[in-house]
Order: sequence, then structure tokens, then C-alpha cells
Amino acid sequence: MKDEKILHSFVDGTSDLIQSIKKDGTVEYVNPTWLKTLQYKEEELVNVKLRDFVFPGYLRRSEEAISRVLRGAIISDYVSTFVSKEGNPIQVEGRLFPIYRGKKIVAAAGIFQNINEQNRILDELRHEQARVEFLLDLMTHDLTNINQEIISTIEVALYSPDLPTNLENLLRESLNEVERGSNLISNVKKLLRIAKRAPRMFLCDLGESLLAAKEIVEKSFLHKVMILETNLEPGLYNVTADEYLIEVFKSLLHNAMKFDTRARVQIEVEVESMPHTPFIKIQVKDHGPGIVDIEKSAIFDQLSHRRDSARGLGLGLTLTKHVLENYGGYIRVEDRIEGLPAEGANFILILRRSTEDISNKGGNQ
Amino acid sequence: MASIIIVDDDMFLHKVLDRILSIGNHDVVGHAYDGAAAIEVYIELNPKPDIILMDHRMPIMNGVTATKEILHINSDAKILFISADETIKKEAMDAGALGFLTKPIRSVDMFAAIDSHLSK
Repeated sequence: MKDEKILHSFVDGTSDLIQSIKKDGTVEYVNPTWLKTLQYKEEELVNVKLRDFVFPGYLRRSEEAISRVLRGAIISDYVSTFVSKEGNPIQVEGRLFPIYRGKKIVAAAGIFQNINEQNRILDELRHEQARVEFLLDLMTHDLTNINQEIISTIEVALYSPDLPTNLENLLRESLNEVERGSNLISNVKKLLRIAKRAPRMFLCDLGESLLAAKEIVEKSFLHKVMILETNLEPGLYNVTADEYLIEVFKSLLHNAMKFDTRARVQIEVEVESMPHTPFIKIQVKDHGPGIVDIEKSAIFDQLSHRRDSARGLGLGLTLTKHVLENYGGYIRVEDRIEGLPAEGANFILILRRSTEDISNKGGNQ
Repeated sequence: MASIIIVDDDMFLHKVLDRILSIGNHDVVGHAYDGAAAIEVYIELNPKPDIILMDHRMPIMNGVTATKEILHINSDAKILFISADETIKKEAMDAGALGFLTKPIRSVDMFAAIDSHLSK
């Protein structure tokens, strides 16, 4: 008796809709939330059948589901739309299961959640997301066009034959700043694309990616020479990645070139297999101004940290971190020479070798 | 030296590209501010231009559609995309574009691309 009272309290107090439909399609029992949601009074239920409260488009599916339940099935992903007495649609999802008396099935019970509010919020979120994406796309597209105009205008000025040196330097600095802004926009767009898309990974040659990135970065620094020393050659290591792998190397090489003020910029890239694991360790060592300890972890998270140091990287390292995490890898930074941050940085990347690569060449190289 | 049509809905960009291209010893022979106008300009021009610099996102008709139409008129037309929409690169190349330059672009890279496609 006590148990029955507790059970009634649950059934009466729950926000879920509970119902029981007899074999002839009439309603055997509904709980107070069901009555309130569908705007019926208890005494009206005598004549109410399934077709009276199930939205016509869902009636056939609901009848079939109840018929299966009356034959012993349990349906845990039931979705339907009910209609209240006054004609308001109520979207529900829940579970249908048989009620036994002895060994005989006598009714189909259902426990449902009203998901009207949930669906309304989801619709609103989708709408808002589409609106934000549209505005962001519009803004980044137009900003890129504006940057193109500024860059081309500065270049026209730079082609002037009698340009005083101080003005030329000023224009070149402006050009670099506009390009920095453009890189920021480009990286934000890439971050958004990475976050949105389903991963499409394929086999990537680590050495080829490094060389491709080197070629691109060198074009950005026509007055500097990159001295790249590496044991990473094409064909040595394959990883499961995508087109953004080149962005990782681009970002690291670009930073090394940018923050090293010398005309000949030395960069070392060392790669090794991590023994007894499917991972590769890649160290990208530069001889630039380095990164002080306090900034070593924040440097990869510029979306949440605002820093004042010289390394304003236009989200390049944030992008790198996201890309590597997408591959199941990670990145951290150490001093090139331990304890001497001013001697340059050592970016350590851990990447998983492709299974194909490991089975072809063995676990340790 | 190449004869070039600029197709872009940004009027100011036409002015600066015009000047940049003339510095690179190229000759801008036509301007269009949308894809449909690009087709008209292309049809009317005689002799035909060496290169068409094509944007993508434009009113009336986008760059990819205009590319298909122009190549339908003359399959030898050389169309080089200059667009901020990196995501349409594959679509542009599939439509028959010779190359794709992502905005913003430096003049030295634009000249290199033009030279490279002229020699093809």
C-alpha cells in the first residue's frame, strides 16, 4: 500500500506525460501532466481515442507502434506530435512498452517528454547560428576586400621612383600590418571551418608538408633567407591528417622568420619516433627572442588570453593547436636551450603516425 | 605584357588593380562589375584578352557561373580567379579556371601568376 502511494506520487508529480492505451484504442489511464498538456478533463477521456490526440501525420506510425507494443515490443525512440483539445501541437519523444496482467498484454503504456520548448530553443539556436555565420562571412569577406585595396594602394605608392627612404619604410611597415590583419581574418575563417566540418582525414607525408610550408613562407620574406636544417625528408613519415597540416608548419616557420631579426634565419626541425608508441615527436627550434615561462601555455589560446608581448601571432598558434588536437596530437613550447628563453623557442609537436605507415615500416625508425 | 579584363564588383579595386597592372606592363582592356557584364565585355572585345581576372562573389552572376559561360563561348579563354572565397577554389578550378589567387594578394604574386598562365 505504501509502495503504491509512492508510485502515485511519482506519476502525479512528474513533468512527463504518461498514458496507457487499451487494445481497442481507447485510453485506459493518463497522468495529470498529460491531462494538463493536452487540455482534457479526466471525465472526457471516456470517448477519447488515439486519433483524437495524435497529429494526423503521425497517426499511422503511432498505431503501428502501439500494435507492435501490444505484441510485446518495447520502443525506446518513439517520436510523435500530439494535438491538444484546442488544437495546439505538442511534440513528444519517449518510450512505449507493454502492460501485462498475468502473462497477457492488456495495454500499451507510454512515457513521453514534451519537447516543444526544447525544439523551439534548438530552432532559435540554429537560426541565430546561421545569422552569425552569415554576418561573419560577410564581414570577413568584405574586410579581406578592403585589405586587398589597402595593400594594392600601398604597393602603388611603393612603386614610386622618388620615394624617400623613411616614407618607404613606413609604407612597408603598414603593408606588414595590413597583412597581419589579413592573416588574422584568414585564420579565424580556418578555425570556423575546422570547427564546423566533419573530419576528412587522409594519409599525409610529413616531409612533403614541411617542404610545401617552407616554400610558401619563404615567399613572404623576400629579404630574409631561411636556413632550415632537418632530418625530415619526404617519404619518411606519414600521418593521418588533412590539408591543414601545412598550416601547422607554415605557422611555426612563419613565426620563426618573423621574430628573428637577422637576415639569415636558422631553424632546426628534428623528427623522431617515440619508442613503443604510435607517436612521432617533431621539434621546431628557432633562434628568435623566445617565449618567457609565464606565456608558454597561454600562447596557444589567444581566443581567451590577450597578451602584450612581441609575439602577436594573429591566431596562428591557436589554429595550430586546434588542428593538431583534431588529429589526436598536441603541441607545447619549451626553451630551445633549457632555462634560457631568450635563446629561442622549441615547439614540440606530438602526432600519431598513420596505422598504414606503422604496418609498412615498423613501429620504430 | 598581357591584355587583361578585370571582373570584380568593387569599383575601388578596379582603380588600384588598373594601376598595379600598368606598373607590371600589363594592359587593362576591359572592366566588368558582375559576371553577366563580364560575358558581355568578353564577347564585345576583339581581339580577345589574354587573361580575365575574375572575382567570385558578385551581384547578378557569380564568377564560377561566368567562367563556365565564357569558356562555353571560347574554350581557350584564360581565366584567373582572384577571390577572398578560398572555399570555392575547387569549384572554380572544376569550372575551368587556370588558377586561383586568394585575396589579399601582393602584386609580385599576381604578376608571377599572370606570367605563368600566359606561357601555357
